[in-house]
Amino acid sequence: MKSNVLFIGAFAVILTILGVTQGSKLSQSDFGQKGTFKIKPAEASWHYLLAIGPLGSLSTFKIVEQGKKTIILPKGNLSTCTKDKAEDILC
Amino acid sequence: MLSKLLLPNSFSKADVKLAIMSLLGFLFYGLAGLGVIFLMKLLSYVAIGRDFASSHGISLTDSSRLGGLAITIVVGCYLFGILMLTPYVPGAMRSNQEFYLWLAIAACALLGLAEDLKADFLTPILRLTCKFLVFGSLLFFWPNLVPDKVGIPGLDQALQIPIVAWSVMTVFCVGFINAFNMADGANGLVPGIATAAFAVFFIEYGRPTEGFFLFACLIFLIFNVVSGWFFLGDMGSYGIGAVIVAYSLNGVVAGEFSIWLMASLLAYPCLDFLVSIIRRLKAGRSPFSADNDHLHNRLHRQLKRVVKSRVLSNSLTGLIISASSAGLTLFAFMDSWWLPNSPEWIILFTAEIMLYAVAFKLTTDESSATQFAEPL
Repeated sequence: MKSNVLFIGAFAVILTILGVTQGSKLSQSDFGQKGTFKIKPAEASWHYLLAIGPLGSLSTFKIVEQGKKTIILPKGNLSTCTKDKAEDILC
Repeated sequence: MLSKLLLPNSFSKADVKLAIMSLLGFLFYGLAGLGVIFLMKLLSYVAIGRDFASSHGISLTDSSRLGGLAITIVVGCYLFGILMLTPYVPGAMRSNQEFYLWLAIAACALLGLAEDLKADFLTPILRLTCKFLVFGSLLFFWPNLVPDKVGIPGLDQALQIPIVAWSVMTVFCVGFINAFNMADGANGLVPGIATAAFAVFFIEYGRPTEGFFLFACLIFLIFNVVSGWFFLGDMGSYGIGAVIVAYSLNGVVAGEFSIWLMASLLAYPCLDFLVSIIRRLKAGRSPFSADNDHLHNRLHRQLKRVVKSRVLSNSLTGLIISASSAGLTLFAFMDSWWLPNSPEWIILFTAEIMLYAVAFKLTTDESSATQFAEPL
């Protein structure tokens, strides 16, 4: 029983860390910044599918796509918008 | 464990259930889904929050009430992760109003957690008072959360008077959270409704927070329906009820959702709450007395006659009700029957009322007397 608990607990922690890191990586750290997303569906390679599954990948695309419509302020000062992003971001 | 894997003859029922849940979790959300199934399995071992068969609605097996805690841990871990790894800033960190809204939700969830960890730690009247205080204060200090128009003649005029609007919305919010808690009586019922609600919110807004709630609720739904070992508990029903009422209020105030879309999405807990109160008053009992004559109890009694498995009859009850109410609304929303802010959703809501009435009538069982307990 005790070894079962340790085994299951360790797996739960490892797989959660994997899910968080891979999900964040798939989003290319560009959450919510209007129109600046680098992610493309073609990038949904097998390791993302394995890590966060089809629904996790689709959800990440949805978040990224919706970010183009919804202005979610990025962390920090808006004046830090760089010129190359200015075409797509309402700074 | 390895020997069990190598020797199929030694597979127990619990092993098979764990394998099915793991497979479903993996198919939907990959290894991340599998991780959450393991987390829930782990929490189901915990001695605190155990619910014995004799003390729960229609469940006939011992189980854990820490489902709400599991969902909180999952959403919390993923939010913390993206906060650390991406520039995403959740609403609660960008707006004071959102911050206090989430604080109110956390207060409701903690009230439920206290009850899950130690049954009857807080009396029902104290919990109710606390919820009134929390939502009363929130809506008093943030009147922007109170809609001034919902598209119902008469109510719209009343909502123009600030004190009336505040009172109506406070009673509605607390009433809804209690209704959500009251409906949590069959595997997959409230988790199914919550999953459908978060799917609608996620499709509409597409923000990470709704995505995480959808993820956690869907995996919990799988775990709850397949195993019957794990319930939402009061933390889950109060907390998720508060999150859903907050999203609904925000959506209606912003004109993004019609009140009728929200009504049809959340029809079952609201209808069952109102019908239960009317039933009890008609029988001369306290409206807050617990009993076993909800529609889900009635349907379960009928299903038990044809389905031998205890868990299966329980799960079928919950799934049938959640799929034919919130599930139907989710389907209509995804299939774009009407715009999210269209008043035409009243058609679906009316259909759900009729469906409830017909099902209630058809499941009447004259041979089974209603059992009830007066409030403490």
